[in-house]
Parts: sequence; C-alpha cells; structure tokens
Amino acid sequence: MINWKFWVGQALCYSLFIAFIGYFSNSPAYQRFPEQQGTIKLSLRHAGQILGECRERSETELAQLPPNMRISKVCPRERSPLQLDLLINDEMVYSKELAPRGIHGDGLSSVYFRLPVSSGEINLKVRMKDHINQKEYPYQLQKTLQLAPAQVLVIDFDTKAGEFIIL
Amino acid sequence: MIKIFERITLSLFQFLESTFNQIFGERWNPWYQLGALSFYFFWIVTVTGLYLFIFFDTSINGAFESMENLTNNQWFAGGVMRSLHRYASDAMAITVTLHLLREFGLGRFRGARWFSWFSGVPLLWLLFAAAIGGYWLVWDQLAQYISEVTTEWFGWLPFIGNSLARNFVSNATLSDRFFSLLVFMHIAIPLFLLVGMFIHIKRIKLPKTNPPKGLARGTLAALILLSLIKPAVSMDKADMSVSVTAIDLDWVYMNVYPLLDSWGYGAVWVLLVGLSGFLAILPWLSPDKKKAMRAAEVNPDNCNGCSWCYQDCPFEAITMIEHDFKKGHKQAQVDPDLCTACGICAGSCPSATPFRHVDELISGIEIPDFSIDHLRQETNKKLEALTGNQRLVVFGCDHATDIERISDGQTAVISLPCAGLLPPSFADYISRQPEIDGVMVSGCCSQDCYFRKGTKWTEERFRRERMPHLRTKAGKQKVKLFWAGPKEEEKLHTALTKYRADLAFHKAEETEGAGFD
Repeated sequence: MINWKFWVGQALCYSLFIAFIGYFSNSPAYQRFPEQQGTIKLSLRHAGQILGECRERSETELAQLPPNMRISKVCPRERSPLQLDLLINDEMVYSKELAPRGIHGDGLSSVYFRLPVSSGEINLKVRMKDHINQKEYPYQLQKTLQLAPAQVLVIDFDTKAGEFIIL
Repeated sequence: MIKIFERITLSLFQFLESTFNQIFGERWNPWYQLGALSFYFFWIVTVTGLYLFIFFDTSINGAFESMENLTNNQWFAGGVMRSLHRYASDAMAITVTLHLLREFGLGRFRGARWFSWFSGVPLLWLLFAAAIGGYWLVWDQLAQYISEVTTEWFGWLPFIGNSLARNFVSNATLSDRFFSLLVFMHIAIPLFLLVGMFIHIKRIKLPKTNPPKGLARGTLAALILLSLIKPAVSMDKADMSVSVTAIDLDWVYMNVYPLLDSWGYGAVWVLLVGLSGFLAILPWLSPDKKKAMRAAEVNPDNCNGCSWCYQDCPFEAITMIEHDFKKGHKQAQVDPDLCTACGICAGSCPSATPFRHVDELISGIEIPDFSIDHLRQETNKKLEALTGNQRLVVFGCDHATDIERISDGQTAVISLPCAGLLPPSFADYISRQPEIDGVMVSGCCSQDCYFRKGTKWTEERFRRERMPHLRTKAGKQKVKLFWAGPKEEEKLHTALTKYRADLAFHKAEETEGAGFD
C-alpha cells in the first residue's frame, strides 16, 4: 500500500544519496602542502657525449661487408651518462648518474625530480657533466633567489645554449 | 577468512534490502538494481558529456574559460549539464562499488559465474581512468594537481619514465597537442568501458540494464536537484608556477591520491594492482566445494526438443542440437562451464511431471544432485507424514527465506536449489489430493532471484503465461505464490497465517454452499 510514509522515506533516502555525493564530490579539502612551502622541480633532457672515437675501417673489413654497407668511417653510438647534482644552501639534495635511454644506450638522458622546500631566500647550485671522463663540471649555475610561498621553480637545461635555465 | 567477510557483507546487504523494501517496495528497491543503475548513470554521463563537448574548447588556454562560460553564463543548461555529468559519474562509482560488494556477499562470483566477476575487474580501472581524465580537462587547480601527481605516478613505472611528467612541469612546457590527446582519451576510455560493460553481461540472458521507471525518474530528479542546489564549479585556473596547497578533491574517485603523497608511488601501485589481482582470482581462491552441484544433464530418451529449457536458462548454458536418435528432432545440450545447476531447466521440462507412471521418473533435463525423481519421492514422503485439519505443502528456495522454521505436523516443507526448479505439475499433483488443503511456493524476492530468473519464470508459469502451465483443476486458491528475501521470515510467517485463514474461509464457504444444496 502506497502511503505518505512511502514517499517521505524515499525522499529521505534520495536526500541522503545526493547529500553524500554533493559533499564528497569536492569536500573535505585535502591540504597537500603547508601554505609556506615552495617547490623546486629539476627537469631536463640532454644527450651525453658519444663514448669512444670514430675510426676508419680497414680494406679487409670493408670487403667483408655487403657493397651497400661499405662506409669507411664508423662511429660508436653509445652515449655517456650524465652526472647531475643539485645543492640547496650548500646541501646536496640530488646527485645521480643518469643513464641514456635506448637499448644501445644512445638516447637522451632525462630527469624529473620534485623537491618541496621552505620559502624564503635560497642558495641554489646545479651542475652537470655530460661525459664520464670530465673532471670538472662544464655546466653550472649558482644563484641566490627568493622563493615565494607556493612558488614552483623549475630548473631546465637549454641544450642549444648549453646552459641551465630557470623557469 | 573470505567466507567470514562474505557472510558479514551478505548480512549487511540483507538488512539494508529488507529495510528498503519497506520504503521503496521490492520493485523500486535500489539495492536490487545496482547494476542497472550503473548503466543508467553511464548513459546520463554520456548524454551530458556530448552536450558539454559542443561548447568545450579543446586547448590548454581555452578549456578553463569555456567551462567557466558554460557554468556561469549558461547555468540553466550548460551548468546543470556539467553538474549532472559530474554527479552522475560519482553516482556510477558508488553503485558500481556497491554492486561489486553485493555480488561478493551473495557469492555470485564462483563457478559458472566467474566470467562476469572477472570481466568486471578491468572495468573499475576504466571507470576511474575515464572520470579522472574528465577532471583533467577542466584545467583548473584540481586538474593541475591531478596532472602533476598522475604523471609522476605513471612515470614511476620504468617503461613509461619521467618524460610524461615533463609535459606538465611549467606553463612553458604545456602543449595543446598533449591536451588534445587527453580529450581523445576522455572519449576513447568511456567507449572501451562501454564495450567492457557489454562483455561483462554477455554470458547472461536478458540482463537488467535499465532500472524500473520509478527509480530512474527519482534518481534523475535527485541529481538534477543536487545540480541546482550545488552546481559543480571549477577551482581557480591552473598555473604551473604556483603549487596547489589545498585541493577540493572528489573523494569518490580520488580517494587514493593522498596516499600517493604519504605512501609513495610504488606502494600505491602495489596496493591497486594487488587489490585488482586479488579480485580477479577470487573465484578460484574461494571455490565453494560444499555447495557446488553438478551441471544439468540431458536425457535424450525423454527430451522431445521443445526448447523450453533453452528459452528459460538464465545463463545461456543450453543450446539446441540435432537429436541423438530421433531424426528431424532437436535435443538440448548443456555447457557445464556455464551451468550454475539452478534447475530452472528441469522446472521447464514437460517430461518433469509426477503424474507419469514410471518407477523411476527421469526428466528430459535435470540436475543430477536434485533430480525430479528425488523431488517426487520427497513430495510423496512428506504428503504421507502430514497430519492435522489443514494440511499444507510449502516449497521453498535454498537462497530465500528459510522455510524449515514453519515446518510442523500440518505443514510439510521442501526446499529446492531454486523455486524455478519446481515444475507446475507438482502443484497440480499435490493440490488434486483431497486431503491436502493447499500448496505454497516460496522463493527469492521478485526483483532479486539468486539465479536471476527463477522467481519470474515460476510466476509466469503459474499464471499460465509461460510454458509449462499450471493446470490445476482443484481451484486457484489451492496454490499460492510467495516471494521474500532471506531475512524476511516474519513476512513468510504472516503470509502463511493469512493463507491458512483464506483457505479456512473458502472451505467454510464451500461447506455452507453444500449445506444449502
């Protein structure tokens, strides 16, 4: 028998259903970071230098190859890993050897690293080697800057210019 | 351990279902329609999504503005559509999760039903991917948070790497092309989801993919009301140079996202892949050996190829093939991998009649663990044992209300694997015996038969709308149908008391009539 209790009960159930959806569809707010925190992202792609030297093939070597593949100069494909360091206020926060991609190790090396840091003045130093034989870091950037609360500071590398950039 | 969780879940759902039966009635009870409601919400999301797509600017700079324009300047149409799009997708996640839990509680993942369970697991991933991808497109701060965390999370996988996250590292690296890819994925993933939903129900006959009209209207009205009271809005526009510190998460879909920050990406992968893997192998981790019955068998000598069992099997386990030895005739063939041993086929077989004068009653099709001959013997035994002034026979279902509780000297009870196993001829057979006052057939709730169609087919057979018909000449009042869920003993008790009173009234009327004659 349909009566008013039937309809009131249904209205109550529908109300609970939409209240649940309405509330949890965007509440409660998730506090991910403290308001005063900033973020540094180290993100770059760069190809290490080729490992080894090009050389000329001997006549015997060339003769053993099919005619269409007889190219006299042969160069190795493998690239050097990158050595990348990031220091914040003279403290090493990231230091890794980044292997090149690809099964022959001839691709780009890349990194994406996110670091939460306190806002305020920071001394930033980033350096990179792109050949395993390099003694010094040919690419370096040192900068003192103010990091605002919630600011995201991105460190990238401009391969054409051969220098670090801050976005 | 799995069985304990199963029992707890089942008890909880049975309590909710029986409470909601008081409020919605069996027909509109949403707990019996969780799968159908999920389909329904999918269609609402699709229709509203198509509308939104007309006005949506698929570029990184235009996306946010186009959504804002739609929400604020067209609140009466676009704004409501956007809200419905969001809320219906949330509702779908809720009904899908409850559907999974309910099927688990009912044990409907074992044996021949493994396929629907197993094929449902990847749908969860597709559903969540489709919804989260949608939030990404709005390109507000929530989208910014999702893009950062999701790309880092997927980038954690060695075969993807960190180049995905680089796309969203700063405003300068954002590309319209990648954004177009996201739009494409937000269309493609729901299409895969739809295909998956079709596969999910492929093995069952007449799947329930539309909720009853009353429930559909009520749900839609409720979602529209919510859209008007609390329209879905964006956070501020995404700006990759500023971190989002407080995020208005959709907890229905993004409940694991905070774990990515606290547990780390690897741990969340282990959790989700582990949980999915566990769900996928659950049918084999927890097989119910005790209850497992052998699949139905066909006896060609008694099969006349009528195909009623083929029409009635709820799991499409029966096909019709050329008869073994009767030329030009068909006979049923059972696929044991699909058969749930419900016995609905035996209930539909015209040769499954107790009136046959044979020593051993062999039906054209029947389940070996509950044969028609066994049913006849059991019926005769119970009839002989009945005493008292008002003698009743009650047939029940193992998955519905426990009928043993009403058994006494004048009430014989016989529980079947499914009410659909009972051929109507048995009710004829019993009701024609003068010393028997009535037959009651009880089974699962009309909207939620454990074997899907047992209740419906039985009702139609007894109403003479489906073959084989009830033919009783003893009078309609001598056969009574009653449907109730497992926790509704009180309802059964009340129905039985009322039936006894009705029978007594009719008997008194007949006696009175006879006296006047």
